[in-house]
Amino acid sequence: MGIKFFLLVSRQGKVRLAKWFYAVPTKERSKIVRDVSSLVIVRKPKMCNFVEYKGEKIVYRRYASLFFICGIDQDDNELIILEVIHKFVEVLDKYFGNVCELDLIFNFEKAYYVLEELLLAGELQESSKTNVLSAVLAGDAESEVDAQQDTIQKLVGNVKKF
Amino acid sequence: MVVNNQMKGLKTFISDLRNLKDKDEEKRINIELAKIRAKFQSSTLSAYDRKKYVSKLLYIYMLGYPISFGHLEAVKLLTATKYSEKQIGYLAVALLLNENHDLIRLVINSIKKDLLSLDPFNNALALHAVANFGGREMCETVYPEIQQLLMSAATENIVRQKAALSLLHIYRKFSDIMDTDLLEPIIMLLDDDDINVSLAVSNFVFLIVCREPSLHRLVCKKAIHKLKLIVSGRGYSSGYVYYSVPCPWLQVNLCRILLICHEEVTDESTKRSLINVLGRMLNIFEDLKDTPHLNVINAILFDAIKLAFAIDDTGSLYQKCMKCLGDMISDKEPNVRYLAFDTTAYLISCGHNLPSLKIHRDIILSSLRFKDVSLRKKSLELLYMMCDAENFKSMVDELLVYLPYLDSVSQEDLISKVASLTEIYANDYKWYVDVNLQLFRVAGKSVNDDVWHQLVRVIVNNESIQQYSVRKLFKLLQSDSTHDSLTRSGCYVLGEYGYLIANEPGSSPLQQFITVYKKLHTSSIGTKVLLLTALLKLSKLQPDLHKRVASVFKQYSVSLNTEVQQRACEYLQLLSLPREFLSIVCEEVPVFTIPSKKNLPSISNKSDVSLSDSLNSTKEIDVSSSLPGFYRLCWRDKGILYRDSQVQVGALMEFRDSKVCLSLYFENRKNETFTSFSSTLLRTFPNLKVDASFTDTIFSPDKQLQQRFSIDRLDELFDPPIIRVSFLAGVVRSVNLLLPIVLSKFLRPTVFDSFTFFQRWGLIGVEREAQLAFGLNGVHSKLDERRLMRIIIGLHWGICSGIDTNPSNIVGAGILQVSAQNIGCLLRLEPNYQNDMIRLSIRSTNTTVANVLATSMQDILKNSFYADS
Repeated sequence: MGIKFFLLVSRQGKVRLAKWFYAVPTKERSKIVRDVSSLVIVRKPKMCNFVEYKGEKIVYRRYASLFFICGIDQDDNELIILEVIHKFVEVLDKYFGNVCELDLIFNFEKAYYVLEELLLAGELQESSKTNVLSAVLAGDAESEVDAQQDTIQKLVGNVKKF
Repeated sequence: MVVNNQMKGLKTFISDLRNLKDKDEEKRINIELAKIRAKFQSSTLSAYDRKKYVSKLLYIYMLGYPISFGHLEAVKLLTATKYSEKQIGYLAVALLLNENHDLIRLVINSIKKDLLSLDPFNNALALHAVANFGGREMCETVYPEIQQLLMSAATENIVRQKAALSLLHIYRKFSDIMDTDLLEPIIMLLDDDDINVSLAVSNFVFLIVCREPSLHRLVCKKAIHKLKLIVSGRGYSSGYVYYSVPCPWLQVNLCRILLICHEEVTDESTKRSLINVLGRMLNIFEDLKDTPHLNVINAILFDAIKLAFAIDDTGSLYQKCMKCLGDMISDKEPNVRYLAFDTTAYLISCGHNLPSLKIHRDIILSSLRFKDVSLRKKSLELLYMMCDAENFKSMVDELLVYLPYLDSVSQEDLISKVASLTEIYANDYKWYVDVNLQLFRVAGKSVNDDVWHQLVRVIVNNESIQQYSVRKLFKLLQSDSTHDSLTRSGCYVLGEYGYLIANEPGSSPLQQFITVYKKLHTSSIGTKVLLLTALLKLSKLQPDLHKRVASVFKQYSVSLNTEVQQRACEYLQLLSLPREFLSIVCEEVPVFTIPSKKNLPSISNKSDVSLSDSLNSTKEIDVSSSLPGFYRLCWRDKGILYRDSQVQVGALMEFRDSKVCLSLYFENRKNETFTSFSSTLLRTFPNLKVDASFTDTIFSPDKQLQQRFSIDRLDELFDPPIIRVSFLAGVVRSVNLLLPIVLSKFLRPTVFDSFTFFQRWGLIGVEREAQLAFGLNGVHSKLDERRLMRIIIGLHWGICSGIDTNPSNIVGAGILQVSAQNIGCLLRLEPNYQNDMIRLSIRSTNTTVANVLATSMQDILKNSFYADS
């Protein structure tokens, strides 16, 4: 299968996003996250972007202070997975406008929504950047409508009180 | 651009936490958790607050703290009507619950409701949920809705692509839920106008081709068509051009799909057009070589090259592919180099011959010294694959040069690779011993047990090198620091064969004793135990050693370690027993008969693994009813394996390269339907693959059932497989069938001229010959010259006619490939037509193979001359 898990880890080893595409018990999840991030963080910039971990292949790439990490099968195409990571970063960048780690901390749920539109069942579902972006924005707009309704109701409530 | 509709409380909470130290963070979180718990328990919780607190929980969870409550609140959010609440609800359920959690049951219905909703946003959320954490119950419930969404033309494309991937999740995990009739329509969607639906479906189709060989033909046609379309620049919009490459993801998927089903490309015009497409893809690489973002082009290229090698038997793409590969092997970028190694190793493992690789050998070798462990590992793997019978010596020598410079993990890897290389190819045992000892000397600490066990086994099994090895090992043992593996193997061999060098200067029994004794103090427990045994064996060399050895045993009989203590005490007792008794106990170890794990024992050629009649072992299972068919099919490729009044089983053997396929055709001979038809393997072996297994199938009179067995390559010898066929025809009927998959089916016929044949015949020698003389079974059996010849040819021997001095003798040759190793086999058959007797001699570089071939041939010949057949 395609991607098995997708992690976003800071240089200090703090997890910023973790998405699993197959059923793993919680305990094992945290072990994998620990192992994989310590494996990846120590690697030098000139080394290649692939490491093996327990019969799986880890494809990662570093953007500024963050490591984007994917776990895939041995025989999957590694380079194309690197491009998936790159695409994710591109969309985040467009969405937040020059994205930085702080954006992803304070808006962690948005990062998940973006990833959700990009990857499904571990496979790339949408390869056009603009389409991913518009899907996420449409979702935001939908919530915005909710928020406006909330405000209106609140106002109506206030008016009634008077 | 981001729409900020975030909860204020959450934001403050996050920034609060960020300002705290680690220790305080935990405190603050505990306070917050208590507060949230209290809020959840109160009855007046507004929807907005619920959303806010669940979000806080999620953040805390992400920081790595366990969350033990709030799951129910997440479920409540998921069922809310407002989109923003729903969104958080779905996220929380995905993160906090896994697919087997009890609470998942509660959300199944609302997921179903969202799937049926007319709002595409709700559809999308529900589909994400199914695709990411759908368990069996959920998948069973929502399967019809998802199928509906995918197939309906009214659905928006964005929802359809999600539906396709959700369905993929179901097919991947619970394929029994899927309708098999749905697979074909899904394959048709590969052609969908929407490139995204096409991409989503391509992932699905990849799994289908892995599982359903019967659909290969259809997939193949569709995939070639689509690939052609994209490469020629049609069928996509500009949004899907990624760094000047159109839809790279789809291209990669299509290549990978075609690689699996390329055997279906049979007609010339299709093949040519595919080769054209691939040629164009390779050209694109040439054109874009200098653009900055090469990654994506390379990604496609590696899969395109694999496909080109598989499909192109004309060789028109060969040069281009090799040039690309060569460029990439010497590329500075580590990723590209890594993948070039990987791809090349893959191609070699597929049996492609890449002679031009030799120029790059130095580059590959030099990668062994890189700091990057991934790259080192890959280059070692590739070098290992590049070894063959011609270059193994120089390759091993060069690998040894790098050994001292590596870290311990890579050393271990390299040592086991070198050890297994030397085992596979060694024809010169002196060299074998030298190389292995060098491994021990240079990197003793990285030698694992398997390697030294193997060395000892080889020495014990080959008389000719015992003296040489014991001399060498003794010399090495005399140095002060030796690693455990060297001490162990050295002392073991010294104990066994020390007497062979006892008369040489510098290695008198006393000196041998001292050497072993010196090691005793400094070695680990496991080694000590072995050393004590070695001392016991040495003690019989010379009478005056007796006393010294006894005193050592006495010293260790008070050891704190019970194992050491027990041995010392027991050995001490042994020494006090009469001499003759000791010499029986200390007799030389017999030849090892366990073949080594990875490969056939070409090296332990003295091993006489008793392989009596290989077919005799079928005794436990009664296969008698299929035996006549079996014997016939052993030398024919087509025929009836079994027939009775109810069923008939036809068999067809096919051979492609080194691949052997057996198709069985089951036919119902009655005019009634049989139910519960099943066919199961009773005896099998690891490399045997079966495409379909019948369990509980309905077998109607007009239908023919097919089952295909295939073996890609042989890794070990095997007994012919047995299947049990059973069905209900009023009563339960069952019959066991012995399948005509025998070793000789894997022989590649070879013809030699008289000189070569007898040269090889002599070279293998009489000690590796299996000879059997036998008469025929059955009273009326008559040996027939023409039939005998047909059988021998049918058993895949290449007939070398007219080279034997006696013209009635039959002489043949063949090559057997077992675990990537070629084993030559020679046959000489002397028939006696007067007495209906046969004398059969088979010589092979591998004794076990000769034995197995001979016994199975005896069995077949004995039973193939019945008067009525």
